[in-house]
Amino acid sequence: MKKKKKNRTHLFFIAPGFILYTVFMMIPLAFAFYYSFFDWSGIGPMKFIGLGNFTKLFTSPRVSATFFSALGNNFKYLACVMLIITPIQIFFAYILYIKVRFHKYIRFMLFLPYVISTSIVGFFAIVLFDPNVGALNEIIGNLFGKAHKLAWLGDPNLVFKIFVGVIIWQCIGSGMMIFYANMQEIPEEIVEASVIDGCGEWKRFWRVVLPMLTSSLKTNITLSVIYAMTMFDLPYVLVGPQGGATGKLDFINMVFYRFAFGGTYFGETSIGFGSAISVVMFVIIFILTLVTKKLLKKLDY
Amino acid sequence: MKKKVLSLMLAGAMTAALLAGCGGGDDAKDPAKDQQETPKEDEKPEDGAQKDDTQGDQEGQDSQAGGEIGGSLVIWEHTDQFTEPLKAVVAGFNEKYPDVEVEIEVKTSDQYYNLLQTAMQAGETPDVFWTNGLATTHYKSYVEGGYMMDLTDKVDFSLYEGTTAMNIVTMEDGSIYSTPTAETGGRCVYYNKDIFEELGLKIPASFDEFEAILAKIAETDYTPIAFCATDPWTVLFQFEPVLNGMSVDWVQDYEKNGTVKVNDERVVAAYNKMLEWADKGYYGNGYLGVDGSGALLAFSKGEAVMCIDGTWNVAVIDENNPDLNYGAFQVPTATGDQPMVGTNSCGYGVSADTENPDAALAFVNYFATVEAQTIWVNALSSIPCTPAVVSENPVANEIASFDYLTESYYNILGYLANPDADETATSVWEADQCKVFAGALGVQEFVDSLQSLLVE
Repeated sequence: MKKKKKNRTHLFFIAPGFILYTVFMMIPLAFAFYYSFFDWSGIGPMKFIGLGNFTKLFTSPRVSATFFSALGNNFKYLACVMLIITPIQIFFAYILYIKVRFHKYIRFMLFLPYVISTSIVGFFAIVLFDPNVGALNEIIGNLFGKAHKLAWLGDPNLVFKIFVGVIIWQCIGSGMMIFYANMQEIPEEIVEASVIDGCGEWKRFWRVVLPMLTSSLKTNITLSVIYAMTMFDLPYVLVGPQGGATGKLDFINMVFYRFAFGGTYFGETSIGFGSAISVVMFVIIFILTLVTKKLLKKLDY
Repeated sequence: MKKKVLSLMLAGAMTAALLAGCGGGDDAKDPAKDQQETPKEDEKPEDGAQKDDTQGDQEGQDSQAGGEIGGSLVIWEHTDQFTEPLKAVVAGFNEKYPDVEVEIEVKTSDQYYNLLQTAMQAGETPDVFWTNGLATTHYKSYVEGGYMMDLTDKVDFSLYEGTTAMNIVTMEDGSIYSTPTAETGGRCVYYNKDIFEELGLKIPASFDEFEAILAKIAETDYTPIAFCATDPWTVLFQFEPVLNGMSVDWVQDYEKNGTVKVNDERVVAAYNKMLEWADKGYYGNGYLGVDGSGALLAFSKGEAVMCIDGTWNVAVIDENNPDLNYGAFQVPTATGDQPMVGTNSCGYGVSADTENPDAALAFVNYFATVEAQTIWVNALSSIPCTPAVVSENPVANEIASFDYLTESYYNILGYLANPDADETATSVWEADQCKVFAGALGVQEFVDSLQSLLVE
């Protein structure tokens, strides 16, 4: 009997993406794993040191303290995303959904900062919060005198709050639009039925709208977890590659950057150790994404 | 069959679209990128080829040697700060070598070494490039990797005789792979002359007088010293003069014996003095939130009366505020000496694989002349390390009136490095320096960690 010939047309369509993904993502990833076992500055001879880079990362008091402090900041930021930023996004999405007055204007104003690049947003923040030449201190100095000026980004108690504030200003629009789009898809009959049953605005939000947002919540939370664990650009612009004098805005990506690429004038580069950090980061993000996925499954209606 | 052909065509079209998307940048020419791109091999003019009118006709027959050397030369520089001085030197070079087309590429920001190493690995090392010499490990690794041309007998370094300039480029075996510059990278106290006059202050003659001045300024609306504790280098450039002012004998111990404890009580006292000044408000209240350029800006704007920083910043201050009436002095010792912490400055090396070695060597040879270094030092408004080069900048000349040069604390960390240690003291210093001022690390703990990475 003649074997039925399999139709492999789909392979042709998969091939381009697969090849490019392999070349530009998988191969570099494999090389990062490979380099993590070497003592290598990025040039010259490579010295195989086995798990030496990983041992240093977890046991060297100075390095591990820096790494775990930075990792703590990543989780701190993630907590802010879950407890502050996401609820604000849902709130504003609901405001738009129930079509409050000037809702179109509000939507435009909230989404506008999202189209500005992070470097520019960081620059705006510096113009505002710079202790020497910033607008806020200029105003405070003129109104209350020099003694009342604040250190802002240099104040260990303020810097993280300013950072989260800037993120809220910049990123609220993106999540809000995802939630808003999801709300638009809620069948009108369900909403109408809840109104007929005497549901108030507050109850309708909690009992009808919020439970219908599971798909966008899952998307948003997964993206937020990845974004939080790969944070780099804004803190770099705000306080530099060291995460500021206090290290309050130091994130694991910045630790990786410092070790892998060093500084301009005197810094030493260590691609091997940087690769080890990137491998650990990969594992952390991978596990977190899996856990998030598993937890979010419980939200399924 | 038809279906299969159609599928293949669609898949091919998709791939082409993807690749076209990836490579779109080639077609859409970015003028800035064009400016930086290395000319392709077939675009390079032949030796002695006609240059543009302005350069070719001007000096074409000036030098016999210049007439024989042509072609193109790509030079990589690491900071915008050196762009104008380099352009000025290249202009002087082109007067002698009109047939050499020089292209300067400024790979600024903290990606310089990363980009340079990528270029080296790709076999596209620029013909001539900056490194920081022995101040970093990069120079040594490039030499050991065979990426740099040995210039020992190919360049005339006689300009630097009798100075310490060659220290930064001379390998342990005496070979030289880069030119230094005639600039001494020192530290000094910049002061606002108008505010000094307004407050009736004079240049201090001793460390106690210096502190008294700080206290007097703190009583006014001015900030005594512009300072930033977010950048380890800016901290260093203040710490070293303060250490000199309080205990110049510490560095003299090193110069005499070739070794010293970097966690010595004198070092701790200097750090504590700076922390005391911070507590007293001498740095204002924003020093943990600004970067080095912000601190310099505060001085340039007249908000701070003084700023202790690198001598290479004269040009930056002039640019920030051309009308600022300022001068410079050294932090004095208890006995009134005015020592200056000075470091040598590195210039340019040549790629071992350059396709135009004649032009590259002609350039580095020109760079090592009095003429080129006078251009360089004056364009940077910096301090010359040899009397053969004369600065025209009045502030630079004020700085140059120091009593004697001393070694840098940072350099000592490098000189005494223990090769068997897991980390280098310099990288630990860079990572932890700012934490001391942020209160996250004690002074003693910090200097002890540095000492533990040095040879006993």
